[in-house]
Amino acid sequence: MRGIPPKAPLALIIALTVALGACGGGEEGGTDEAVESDTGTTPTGDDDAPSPATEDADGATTAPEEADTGAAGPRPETLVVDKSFDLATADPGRQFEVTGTIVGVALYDTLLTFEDADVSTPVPHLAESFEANDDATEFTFTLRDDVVFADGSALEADDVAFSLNRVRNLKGNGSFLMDGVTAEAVDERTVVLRAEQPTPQLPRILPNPTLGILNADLVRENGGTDAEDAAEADTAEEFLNTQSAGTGPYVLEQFDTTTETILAANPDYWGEPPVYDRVVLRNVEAATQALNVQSAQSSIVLDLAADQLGQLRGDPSLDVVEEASPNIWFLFANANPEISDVTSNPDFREAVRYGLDYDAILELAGDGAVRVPGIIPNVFLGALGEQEAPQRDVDRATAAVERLGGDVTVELEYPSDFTANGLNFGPVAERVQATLAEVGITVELTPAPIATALETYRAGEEQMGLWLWAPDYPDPADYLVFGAGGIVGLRAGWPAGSDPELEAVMEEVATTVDDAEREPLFEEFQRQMNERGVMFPLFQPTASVVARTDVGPVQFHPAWTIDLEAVGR
Amino acid sequence: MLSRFVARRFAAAVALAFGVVLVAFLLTNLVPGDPAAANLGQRAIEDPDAVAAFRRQYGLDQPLPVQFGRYLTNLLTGDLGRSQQTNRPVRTDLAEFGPASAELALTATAISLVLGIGLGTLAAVRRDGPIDQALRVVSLGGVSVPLFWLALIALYLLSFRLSLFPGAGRLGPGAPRPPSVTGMYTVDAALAGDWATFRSALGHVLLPAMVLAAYTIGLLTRFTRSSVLEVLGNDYVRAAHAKGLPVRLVVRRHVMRAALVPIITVVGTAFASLLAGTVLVEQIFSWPGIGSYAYRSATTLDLPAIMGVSLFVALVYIFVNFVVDVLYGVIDPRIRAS
Amino acid sequence: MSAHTAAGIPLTRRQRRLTRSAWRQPLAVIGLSIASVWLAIAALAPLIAPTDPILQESGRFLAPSAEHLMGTDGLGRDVLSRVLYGARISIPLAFMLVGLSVTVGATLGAAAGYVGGWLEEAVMRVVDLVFAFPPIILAMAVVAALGPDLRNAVLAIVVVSWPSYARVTRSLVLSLRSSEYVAASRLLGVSSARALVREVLPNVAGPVLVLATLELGNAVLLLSGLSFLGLGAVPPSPEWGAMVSEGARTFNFWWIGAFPGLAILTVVLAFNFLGDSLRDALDPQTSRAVRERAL
Repeated sequence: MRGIPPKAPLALIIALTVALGACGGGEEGGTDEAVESDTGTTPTGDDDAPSPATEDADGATTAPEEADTGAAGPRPETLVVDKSFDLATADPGRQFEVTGTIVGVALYDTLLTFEDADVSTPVPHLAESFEANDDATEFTFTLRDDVVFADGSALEADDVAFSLNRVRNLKGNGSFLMDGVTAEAVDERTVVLRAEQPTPQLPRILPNPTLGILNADLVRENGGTDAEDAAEADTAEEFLNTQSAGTGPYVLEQFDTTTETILAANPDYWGEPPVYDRVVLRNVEAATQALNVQSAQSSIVLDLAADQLGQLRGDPSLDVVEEASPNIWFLFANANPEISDVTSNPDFREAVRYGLDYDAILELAGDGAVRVPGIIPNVFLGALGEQEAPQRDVDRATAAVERLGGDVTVELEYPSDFTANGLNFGPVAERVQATLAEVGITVELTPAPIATALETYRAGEEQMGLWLWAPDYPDPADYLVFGAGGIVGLRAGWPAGSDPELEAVMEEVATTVDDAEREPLFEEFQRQMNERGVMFPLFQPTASVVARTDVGPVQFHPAWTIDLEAVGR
Repeated sequence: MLSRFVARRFAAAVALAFGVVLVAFLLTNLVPGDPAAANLGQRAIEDPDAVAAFRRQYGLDQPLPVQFGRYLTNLLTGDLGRSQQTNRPVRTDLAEFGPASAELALTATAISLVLGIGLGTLAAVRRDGPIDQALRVVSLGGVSVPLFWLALIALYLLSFRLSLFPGAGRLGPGAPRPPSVTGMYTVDAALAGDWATFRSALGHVLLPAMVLAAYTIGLLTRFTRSSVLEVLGNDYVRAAHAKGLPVRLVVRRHVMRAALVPIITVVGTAFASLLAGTVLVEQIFSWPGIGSYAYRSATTLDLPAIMGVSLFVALVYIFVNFVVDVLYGVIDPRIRAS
Repeated sequence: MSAHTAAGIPLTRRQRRLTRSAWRQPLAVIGLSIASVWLAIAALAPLIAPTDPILQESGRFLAPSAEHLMGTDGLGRDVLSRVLYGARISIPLAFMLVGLSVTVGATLGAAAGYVGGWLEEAVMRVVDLVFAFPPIILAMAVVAALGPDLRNAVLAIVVVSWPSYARVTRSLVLSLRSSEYVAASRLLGVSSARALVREVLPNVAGPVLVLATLELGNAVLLLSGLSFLGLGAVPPSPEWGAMVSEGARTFNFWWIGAFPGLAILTVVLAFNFLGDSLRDALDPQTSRAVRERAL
């Protein structure tokens, strides 16, 4: 289906030349050395050694791998990627974290995928074609016939059914993706997915790396099962942490949740081979990542805060990619009077909505950040236009505060030790505090470590909360959780029945199949939220990818942060 | 008599270790917060099935006494449970992070022993002279500087600006680890004869170790100085001096031995606290040691890891105290007699 | 060479006192002056600080200039004002922290040493337990249970640090209890409680106070360390450790973290200069006890 694009042969040749060139010079070529000392960025550790060059002349020892991460010059053979780890497992069915997603995309293929950074249109991948019935309850996929696993066995419909049903029954972080959906192998190359309810978002869910396709026989042999009791009976995780069982562009060389996870190119990959033969994913604190990429100790870093990018942009040896992350940072005011008489008052909502200085807050999120007019991020279907964003109106806010009796004090909780896109919650909360003070609202900050803060958040006990929502899949249906009775709505003390008009829209949109009809409904949903809701969407922060220019082109991917397979292409 | 002494000591150690584990268990359960919340995703946490599966997997669905009892029984078989954070057996984690911290602590202690005792003795011998005064300011500076600040400055200046040291971590990216014997990369690489890895590992450990040593050097210098001075005031040293022996010889032969006893206490305590993990420096240097492990498990309420770390630290404390006592006996036989 | 040898061992007592007054004083004086300056800053911060420390009105990340001597931080606040106001947080809290630890530690230690028996056993076992426990987990538990807040951080550190005072006090009391004049006053029929208050405590107070001075510096370090980890100060309070932590996220704007770090360094240095000079003034016996337990 997805044929090899015409430019591919050229890229292949370049990749080969580079690889050969690097090999020809021995583990670390003499030229590399010269370049390194010129730019004064010798990867040290060798510095207190006599001299790496002398050592090479002896030719006796192999140089440390470390030296391969040379400065500007020929493309490095190993891609060193810094990420502050939230890695738990290499089992695709069990992972649902940012780092796990990056690894998952590289190791496992999915039925459908997104081409480049376009997350609005899923395209065939392991499936060569698919069709849905009219009410979006039955989806039929025809598989490619040229895909093989590492052990030589061909991809079959059973592998797909096993992998997808296993995810549902594992009852893990990503199981909700398959909620009410059953996969069945009809024949060797045909799979049917049946949903209990109309699920128009399913094609946008399927590219999620949690739904990566495993080699069913191999995984079954190693303790895997897709049965109802998989949550307890499945013991394949340990196996999958030592060896990958997918058809993806990379295979697992070393898995470690705390220091380094290493991927090696899959020699039998069915698609276009990746540019880099080896990828080292390192666990590095965000603060040190900037130093690492500037001194060429890393090729790509993923967690830089917007504030750190300014200076890097001027560096000719760096490629700084800045885009709006699809993560939404939002505030809420608890609607439950038992939690607070103040925050549950509609006047308070009005005061906050028109009292917040959105631009001053946005400033903290970096140049690539965007203000988000509704709760749905800008790259998804149904996002509101900029002009619909609530505008600051100090008089209106002050009047609302006066109606509350003036001088109100509320508590705002946020996770103190959590960072996303290099951005901490602390400064944002401080800005919120400062801008609300201008309209007469005293905000007391009550940060807590994430385990504790999540507990009060989930229990719906926070007066005000500052949190973020990362999209589970790039479809607006994911944002219905913010409505009355949705899981985030409940955390804000906003149960079903609180806003019948809004809930009617939510109900209607959940069962509408056609995107053209869904779009205006989602817009209506957000307009009503902006009028009466308890949520105050703030911004989508800058997501950054900073790479050494010798790495080749890199892209930020809104669904899985970075597509390692595409780096350098 | 000796065996009774050892037996009593052992019993005390076991009691202490038990107490530490019990306190860790109680503390963690007193803290409001749910490990499931910290480990499950934004969706799964609202799914009762997923929460139940998580609790079952980690035994959190059992009543507290049962959980604790089960922990102790497993402990007897050497099973410390599974960390929710790293998703590995806690024992594996400790076996990896413990040696990493030990490598750092040993290097820092070695640096501070050499410099601290040397400078301290020098200060004592040159008592009240300009050298003594200068050393006094320097050593007090060492114990006064905030280590997290020093670590940041060292990383920025020495590693990033001047490229004198490699950056964070234990080895270069993707570098193969030496075959594990002790878990300390420098030692393992040396044992394997892999000198390239050895140099890389040493380069990586040196900077954080030097930062850590700033404090212990200061401490040891001050301490050695006063211990040596005290001994210098003793009659037998004066007598030796009166006999016309040169100062250097007097110091080496008579003074050091006596002064060493209190110094060992300091070194022992300092080493124990380094080995128990120096959260701040490990965090800044992305050093995968006990300190950062303890910090991460504490913030995520990772109960098995917290108990494992506590047990580890208690054992270190017990062990170091034991070694210090033995060394006392070796250096100063009078103590053994009493 | 011979001059150095002369400075070595056989100095007369008189010579020694002379050299001491010549060289020792400056350090104590310097320590006292720096500490006084910081105390004055703490007292007068609202008068001398250029702006309100939480005012977010200037541009963000401005480098040090005539207008902002220490630049501005990521929220556009004046770093100088924040450093000055920071003195009002760290210094009083350090005193409070040490005061609490001394009170708890000395009381328990004195009781253990004087009463002996099961009380001594119990106190010393608890002391052992705290020493053998990873402090970060203890601190984290306290902070998580009570909420992150500087006062709770102080509590957390008190929980960790009282045992060293308990040990010193106990060993001092033990050595005094066996001393002759306490025994004598007992023989004279003085009740043990009165003997403790009259004879023992005054003799213990000196060394413990010196130890406390030495610990003031450490207290500042520990508090800022906890705030650096996000377990202490709550924003927007201008706590030095929290400010260094903010600076650590943006290396390129060095002034955000460098100046608060320097503030910590100078304050701690001043306390340590003072404590060290005080310790030297003590007689060797108690000074040794202090030294060994101060760790």
